[in-house]
Amino acid sequence: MTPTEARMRSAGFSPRVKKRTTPEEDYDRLAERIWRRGRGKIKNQADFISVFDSYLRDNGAKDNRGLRGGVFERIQARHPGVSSALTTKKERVKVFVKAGTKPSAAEFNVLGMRGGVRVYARRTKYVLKGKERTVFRDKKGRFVSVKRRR
Amino acid sequence: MSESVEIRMMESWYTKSYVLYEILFCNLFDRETAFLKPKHRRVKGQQNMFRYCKIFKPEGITYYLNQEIDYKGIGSPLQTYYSLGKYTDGIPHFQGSPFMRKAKTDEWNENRWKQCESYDLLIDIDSPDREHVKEARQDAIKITQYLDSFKMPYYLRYSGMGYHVVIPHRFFQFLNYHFDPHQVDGNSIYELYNLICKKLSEKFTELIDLGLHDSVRVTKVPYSLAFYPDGCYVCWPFKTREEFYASRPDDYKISSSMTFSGEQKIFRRGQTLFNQNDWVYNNTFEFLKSLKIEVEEHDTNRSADEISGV
Repeated sequence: MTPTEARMRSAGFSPRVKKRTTPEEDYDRLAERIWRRGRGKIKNQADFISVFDSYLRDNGAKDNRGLRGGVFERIQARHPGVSSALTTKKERVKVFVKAGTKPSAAEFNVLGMRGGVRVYARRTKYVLKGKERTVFRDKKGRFVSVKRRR
Repeated sequence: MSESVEIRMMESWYTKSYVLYEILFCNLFDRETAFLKPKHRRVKGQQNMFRYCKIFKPEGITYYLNQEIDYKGIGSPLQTYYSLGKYTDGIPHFQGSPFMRKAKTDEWNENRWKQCESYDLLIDIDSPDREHVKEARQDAIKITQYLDSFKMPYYLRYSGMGYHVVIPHRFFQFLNYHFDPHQVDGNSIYELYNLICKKLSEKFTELIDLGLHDSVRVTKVPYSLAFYPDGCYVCWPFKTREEFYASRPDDYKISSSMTFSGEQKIFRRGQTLFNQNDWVYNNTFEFLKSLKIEVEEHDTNRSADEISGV
């Protein structure tokens, strides 16, 4: 500690800490740690960024100019298969019905009653609490009562 | 049921003179008669319907079946239909084979509406299959009771897979709807009938056929045969409401021994127009008003005979 720093501490001022930056020779070590942290799942730049951010978060560090880019260059140099793509195509797990799509009339082939009016209904099934249930709906999507024939 | 059995049923039925008389006097005068193959016998690429037949005597039916069309040659039974439209001088007598006269009939078809003097309303309550004919019957009961509440006249028939309710045109005649199918201005009779069927469908049942009423629509002739994969049925017009309520669809099925239990009742039986004597033309307005169909109203309270000039 210098005399100036000692005088400032005694006056209640915390000395200004000089900002530390990662030296470039440590980029290789950082790239190696991040690659290991990603467990081989880093396919592109978007994957790298998510792993890189989580690493900094866990270590209480902040990104500085050039750090992320420099580390990524090291990873690409060592693992040429990693692309520079910034978006990740995720597999769609839900199928949404396009607006304006109507079910075909041939699906409505069950006769039922709704409000005293005999209507054609469509059989739809869903799972609730592990059990499959069947409901009948008319062309407007409203519930229809269908009697089971014995 | 095999084709040969169906053809023999048809032959057996249309050789009975009292059947031919009843068919003729019910509906065929001044109308087009058509012979169509049953749906399950239609073959793509072949001629499945024989239209523009002019029949004015009972033997005309067998003449067309045997000589003009030659049902044995085409190897299929045929169902008999009549046009909902009635023409001033009937349809022309088209000479030549029904297979070869398309040019002449096309010309008639284009301008037939100009000679149309009436066009009946058909409410076709059609079951999708044999299992649901009971539901069609229940819906026909509701609709006929609804018409009875307004004293609207109608014919009621069993069609083989459902029921037909036919309201003659003279009970809508004073509304002055035109017959031109090419003029879509909200004043054609076809638009009115389609709207009535649509409103009844929303009110009672989706079994009502919403296929378009157009200038060339035909429907099954009473006392003719209707062929289905599970059997052959008579298109039976009901004489009384009690008969209708007590009836079951299988009562009108032709048995495998070619007999029909109601055969003896056919002679001079005709068909009944329910509510004929109770109608006044305000009833039509009330009926249309209940379906929320707006038409121009009149002041006087005249009977059907006064309007139709009978």
